Amino acid sequence: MKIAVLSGKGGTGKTFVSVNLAVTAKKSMYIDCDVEEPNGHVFLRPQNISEEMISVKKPVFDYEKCIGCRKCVDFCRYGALVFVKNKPKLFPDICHSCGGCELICPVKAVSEKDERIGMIQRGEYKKVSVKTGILDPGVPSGVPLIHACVREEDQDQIMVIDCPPGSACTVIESIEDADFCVIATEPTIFGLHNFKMVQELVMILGKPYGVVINKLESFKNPMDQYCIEKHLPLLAHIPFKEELFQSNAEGLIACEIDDEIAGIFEKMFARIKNEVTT
Amino acid sequence: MKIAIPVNEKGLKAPVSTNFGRATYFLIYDSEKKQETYLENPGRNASGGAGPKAAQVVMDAGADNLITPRLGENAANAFMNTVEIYEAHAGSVEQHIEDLLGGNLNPLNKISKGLHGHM
Repeated sequence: MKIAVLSGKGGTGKTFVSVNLAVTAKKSMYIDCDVEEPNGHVFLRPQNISEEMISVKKPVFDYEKCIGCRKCVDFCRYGALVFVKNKPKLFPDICHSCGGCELICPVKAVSEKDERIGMIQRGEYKKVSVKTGILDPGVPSGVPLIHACVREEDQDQIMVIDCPPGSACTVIESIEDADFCVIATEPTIFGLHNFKMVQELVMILGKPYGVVINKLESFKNPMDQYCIEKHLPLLAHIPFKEELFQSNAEGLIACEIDDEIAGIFEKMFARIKNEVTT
Repeated sequence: MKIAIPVNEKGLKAPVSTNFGRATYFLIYDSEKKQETYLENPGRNASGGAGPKAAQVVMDAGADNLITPRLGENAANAFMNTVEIYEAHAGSVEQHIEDLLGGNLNPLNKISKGLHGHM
């Protein structure tokens, strides 16, 4: 069972919800797909760490063999190849590693080389396997690394995917195989605005989903009002409490130290399990 | 000599486009034949790689010079040692052609990072 936690806006509590869900599920896997700034490990503090390098393929052109037929340049729909002085010139940051230029070259002048983009770090916290995608600084796209992070052989285990913020390609890659999406949001106009963008994405992909409203001070707020009007599945409210911010700042896991939060996450997890299995 | 200019409307009285990769057309002006040709820019609606796609059109047209107010780093890299790049001002396309032929345009030395989806 794959549960993806996402939000339109950064700082709504994706990592808070993901980490607490993974811990509540007890035996689970937490996957941090926010590869530009993964921070789930700050709370889960994984032990027995191992690292795996992740790379993508980039084409290499043998200009001795190249006959300047231009087939590779015309084939590349990403605009990563430009035909200059009768030879293909590569723009590696635009290349999507599709391998098309190598396939289409009639004289085998194109080969591929591995280019490192980041790594996956694995470790354990109690019964939670912690998997963290870490993108190297300056790498233009986290998508291939996220792809490697969410690809997991044991499909039966409970996986909680902590997504990057927003609704771009990296988020689509993170939730593509998810069985259920949890959208974390804030009870503000800004929160509602960004919630709508992710909700649209989740609905286009046909994913079942539920809403978690974080930092709740009063039920009279634009986000709750919208959920009631549109009959949206509200999974949980998480109260605005100073103690929570304190413990979060100390890197503590709320459901382990706060009974109210533990109860909220137990109910949330039971409901998601129920939605997925029925 | 062939001069390429990004434009959003046809005609010599039109202004130069404020953007290279996302311009609607490229005017290719042949100064010997005094001939205008307008080429569609495939980079205009591209989801990515607009700069190189646009640069390809300009190079395929055999342009020697490009006049633009700004240029992204990928397009600039594509043009390197092939096409001379000059900085556009606020005037019309016609004025720019005249200025270039009279040697009154400055080379563009500011290369932008490009918009890269943040439009």
